[in-house]
Amino acid sequence: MPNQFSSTVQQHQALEKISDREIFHVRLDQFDGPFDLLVTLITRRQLDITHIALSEVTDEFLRYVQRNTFSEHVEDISDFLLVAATLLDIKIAQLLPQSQYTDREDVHALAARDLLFARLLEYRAFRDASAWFAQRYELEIQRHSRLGEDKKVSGDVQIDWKMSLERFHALALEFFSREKKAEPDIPVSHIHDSATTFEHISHIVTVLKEARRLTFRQLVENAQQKRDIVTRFMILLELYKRDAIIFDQITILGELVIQWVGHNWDEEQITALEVNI
Amino acid sequence: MSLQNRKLHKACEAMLMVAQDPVSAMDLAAVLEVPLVTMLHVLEDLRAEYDGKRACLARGFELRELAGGWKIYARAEYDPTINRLMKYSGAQKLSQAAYETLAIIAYKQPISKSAISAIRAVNADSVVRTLLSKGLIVEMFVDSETSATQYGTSSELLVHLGINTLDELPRISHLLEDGTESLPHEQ
Repeated sequence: MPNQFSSTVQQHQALEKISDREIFHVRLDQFDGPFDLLVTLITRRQLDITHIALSEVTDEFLRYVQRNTFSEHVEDISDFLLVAATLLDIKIAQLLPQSQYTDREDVHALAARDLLFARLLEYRAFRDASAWFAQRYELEIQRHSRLGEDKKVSGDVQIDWKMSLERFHALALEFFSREKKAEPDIPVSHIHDSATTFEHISHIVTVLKEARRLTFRQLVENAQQKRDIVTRFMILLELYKRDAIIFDQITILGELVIQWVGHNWDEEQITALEVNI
Repeated sequence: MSLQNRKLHKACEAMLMVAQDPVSAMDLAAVLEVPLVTMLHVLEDLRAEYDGKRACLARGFELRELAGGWKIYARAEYDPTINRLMKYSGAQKLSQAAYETLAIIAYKQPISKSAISAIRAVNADSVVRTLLSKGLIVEMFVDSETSATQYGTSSELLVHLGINTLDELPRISHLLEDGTESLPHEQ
């Protein structure tokens, strides 16, 4: 495993060696953050991260920052600018006479340099290590074994099939023979016998309009089935909602008196009501 | 080889054939009610057998030890053939940023998103989300002091890297040796 790792690191470095200025320009937009750029700049120059090469790298880094507008990510700009500022700080410290390090600013610049280098080295270590991850991952995604798709099948409810073929056949026969004679046996007469909702509404509205005041008992006395009574009660509730009637009930569970107060009830409104029930 | 052992081989082979995730030798031993050592011998036997080392022909599949378990894979040389059968045109690779973030999490877990961002000097939100959705990393716990979620690698990552344990990751100490022990921002 370590051999593979070092070989990919070498490959990586070989790649960097080839990259001349042209390739560098092509790759510019791909830099993922300031450290990525800085490491590439340093590696491309085949330099250790020492202060000798730093001024050149600083200039190049600044040129990159100037060239790119970073219109999209504010955070990226600040990251790049922070590194650029630190580099500049270090460069200034080097250009100034180095006899006395007592100056607080110089000490600060040195500390900044050490911090930046340390972070840069750490980043470089992980970037190099990521080459191993990429190599292993891309090797491994080519491999085939049992696929995850099968999980979908086993994850669903499984059918526990215990029936014999003979029993299945007998069941089918039984079903098909029953179906044939069962169909005409379904009694539907009661459905057709009862009045439609529209008829109920018409009846209630007409009767109430005429009498103005009726008890619920009177309203349903000609109803044939329980179903009709329920339907009429539902219609009354609906009419009450539309301010066409008011209820009066003096004692609990006593006689329910309905009074018509609606205006201009025509067929259109009855149809609209029917849709709601 | 006794008849009893051949039974073990067959039972073990049967289980490995249908398992989707790597099965640990411990689980196999528990099901077959044999000592772990016996199970490991059986597994090694099967591996050698499939590789054609037991006076039998090598098989088109192999037994690999991954993520703390055992799993049957088609031999790498037949991957293109299988691709043709499945009309499969290559799986998705990860971005450079994703590989870097994976490396950082693998070596420094448990680690928070902000610590990852600090190392890469780039916001880590989207790349961490991608890795989570692919199941390569997991949320380990929430730090009680900072209430920052700490991330670590999943066992699925081990499968994806084709390794058995995290110990098989390449050492990176030689890459970090340039005085980084005194890093101020490292706890």
